[in-house]
Amino acid sequence: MVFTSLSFFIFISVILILYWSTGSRRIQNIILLIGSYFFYGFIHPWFCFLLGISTVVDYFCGLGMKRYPEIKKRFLVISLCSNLGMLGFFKYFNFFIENVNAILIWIGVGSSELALSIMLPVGISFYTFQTLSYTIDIYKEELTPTKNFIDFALFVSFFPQLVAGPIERAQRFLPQIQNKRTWNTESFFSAIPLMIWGFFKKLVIADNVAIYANKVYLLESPTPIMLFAGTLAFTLQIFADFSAYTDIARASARLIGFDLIKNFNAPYLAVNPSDFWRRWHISFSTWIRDYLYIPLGGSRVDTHRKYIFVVVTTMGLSGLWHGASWNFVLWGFFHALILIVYRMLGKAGRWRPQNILSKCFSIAVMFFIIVFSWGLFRTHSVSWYFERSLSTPLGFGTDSLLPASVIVAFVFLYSSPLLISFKRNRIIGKSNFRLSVVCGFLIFLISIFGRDGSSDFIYFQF
Amino acid sequence: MINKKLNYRAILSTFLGLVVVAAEILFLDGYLRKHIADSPQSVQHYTKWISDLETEKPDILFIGNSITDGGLDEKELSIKLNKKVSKVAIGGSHTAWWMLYIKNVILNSSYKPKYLVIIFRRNILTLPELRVKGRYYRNLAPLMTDDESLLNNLAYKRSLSPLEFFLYENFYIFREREFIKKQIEDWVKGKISLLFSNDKSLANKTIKKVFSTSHFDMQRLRKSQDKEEKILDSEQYDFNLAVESSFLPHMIEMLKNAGVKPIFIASKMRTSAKNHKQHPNYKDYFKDLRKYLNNKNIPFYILASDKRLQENHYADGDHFNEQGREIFTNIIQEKIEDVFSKQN
Repeated sequence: MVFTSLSFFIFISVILILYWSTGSRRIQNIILLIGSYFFYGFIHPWFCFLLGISTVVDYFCGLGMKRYPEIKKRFLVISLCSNLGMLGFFKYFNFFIENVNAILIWIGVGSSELALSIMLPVGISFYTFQTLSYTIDIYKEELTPTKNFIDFALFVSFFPQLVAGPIERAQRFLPQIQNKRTWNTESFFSAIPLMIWGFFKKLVIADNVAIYANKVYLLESPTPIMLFAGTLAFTLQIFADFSAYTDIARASARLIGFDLIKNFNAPYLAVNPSDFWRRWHISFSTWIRDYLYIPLGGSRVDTHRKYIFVVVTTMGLSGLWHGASWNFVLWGFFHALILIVYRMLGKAGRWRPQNILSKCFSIAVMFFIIVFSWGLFRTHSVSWYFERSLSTPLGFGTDSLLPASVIVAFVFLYSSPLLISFKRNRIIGKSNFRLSVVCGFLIFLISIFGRDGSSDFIYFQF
Repeated sequence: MINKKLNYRAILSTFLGLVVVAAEILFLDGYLRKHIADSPQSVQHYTKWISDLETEKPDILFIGNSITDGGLDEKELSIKLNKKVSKVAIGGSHTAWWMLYIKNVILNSSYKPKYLVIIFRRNILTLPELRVKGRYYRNLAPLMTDDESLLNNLAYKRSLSPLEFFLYENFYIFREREFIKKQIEDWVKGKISLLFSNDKSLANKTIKKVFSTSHFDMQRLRKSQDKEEKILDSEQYDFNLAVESSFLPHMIEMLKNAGVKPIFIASKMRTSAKNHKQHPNYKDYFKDLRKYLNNKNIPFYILASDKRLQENHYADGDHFNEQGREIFTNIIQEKIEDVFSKQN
């Protein structure tokens, strides 16, 4: 069930009516749990089975760790193996086989015909990380496991963030499930502008700039300037698309009295690589930091070599999480590279711009680096991407510069609402009148500029 | 616990805000209705099509979309068949457009062609809601009369939610939004063109040239078209279930009443030439379609297995290149001659 579909509106309307018609926290949680499984099963019924397995395994592993602390490591291993095993099988099996085949062919042994037609369960990367945070926190004795199966199952399957995050931590989210939710008019109605803004970003900004990005990346031999323009379009597309999903997810959660973590904080205003990862996909980057980067040693390792190993491993796996394809891995390695270079040049990561000029300069440099990295993410072939980026002529002729200028102009046009949104407090203030005018105007723009046949959210594929 | 205090001021100001927006939209709708209605249409008005038909008086009329437009050489066919052959092939048109053409042009024309040959692909004959919205609406609008209940019921109501249909029926802005968007885009492109030359249309011309399918990586283009075709594939491939809610029976009935003999030809896609796997119900669909048309004594030809059309005869996933056009025209000639021979 896609957020931008009529079926979702009907679904959430029914949920809201049922949910707020009862004051019982227990019944509310049951309604949400059934609703969440219905939401997920709408995509494909058997996905619920996998979700259920993950839920049951981690529920009992959590309780097991508490009851038998002497063998808690075994429970953790069970949780890790089952969750990562399922993720590995459904997401990476064919990728693994393809690469084994490639090696076998290269060494002249032949190839295996083992590739399976495996359907990737939507959201598996997200809910796997979410449940793992639960069991790992229990293992670290930072969290007490819940005995209430309904509460835990809801934590895993909570529909607003099930399919594409944000990845919630049990320490933050489970108490919200376990506590009573009271109706708050202001909170409820504040969700509506957030939802409208999310739909606007997806249907107007992301889906329209996607056309330009897709066209450029279909070209056989784009010039570097054309490729830059297409990648710039993709840079806007991926931010608008993913942040839109988060906004709609947060708004949906707010309607039922939950507060989901913010996933973005103006990522393209980052002043250095570390800053970017504090602003982009925050729930994922903090998960990686807390459960991978820090346990491996983090920034406290005593040698450069160890640091490089930690960063390359962390970012490589981060890339791989995004998809079973080498371009995602190389995207992760590229970010590792810029993090390493920044640490070496930037006073061990402590450098900050000292004045407005250096801040603008560092934002601009970071932005171009990020744009380049998104090209690695978007491309079908890394070698093609590098070859086209370094090709000559650069594309200053009319045939290349003119279409590229058009694309850049539209990127600026479609990004202008995002830039204006920084001043929203000044524009709207506390005025409900102004807020409703702005929301009405956004709905109007969605109805005019929203693309027919809107595409799936990009992060659904992860 | 429910907080029963209501902020009446907030409610009133919210309501006023929405009223302001609604008033602006209504004003804009009226303004655009007056101005857009006079703007050039993408295709000619149906009265002009009637006039063309009455002037040309073709024996055989082909109807289709860009596949027919680029793939069929009607002049060559005229010579080979020794009959007057015309084609009406609007890029992006599907059964909605063809139904409107039959209903509002052929039925209203004083001249009726002897044969109407409909060239289509895959299962689009039973997908009435395909290509009726967005920019395709502009192709349909000039063919519409004031009463298009069949079109609304089978195409728009099925593809639009009740709210969308309400907006579509009552707000010009909503119906013409692709055109409005295109006007804004063309304005931006025009301004950028002026940075390069005096020709405002330079950007559009350059973009068309640079992003022509010949510059695309064919494999990636195919993959992206395959993605779209998967969308088509997920649609109804159960012919018997889909036919009664499609335009097909209505088109056949209208042609029968007009004394025009229909001929249906399913074109060959590049995926067939590459022996790609088709939808699992593909064969059953065409088996049922053939049975349906046979029961009505309507000639039907499927070109999917014709080995004369190879992968190298395609410019992209659907359209023929120059060589393909020649072969396709020859194959069509053969099929038409087959129809003639069976009738003799």
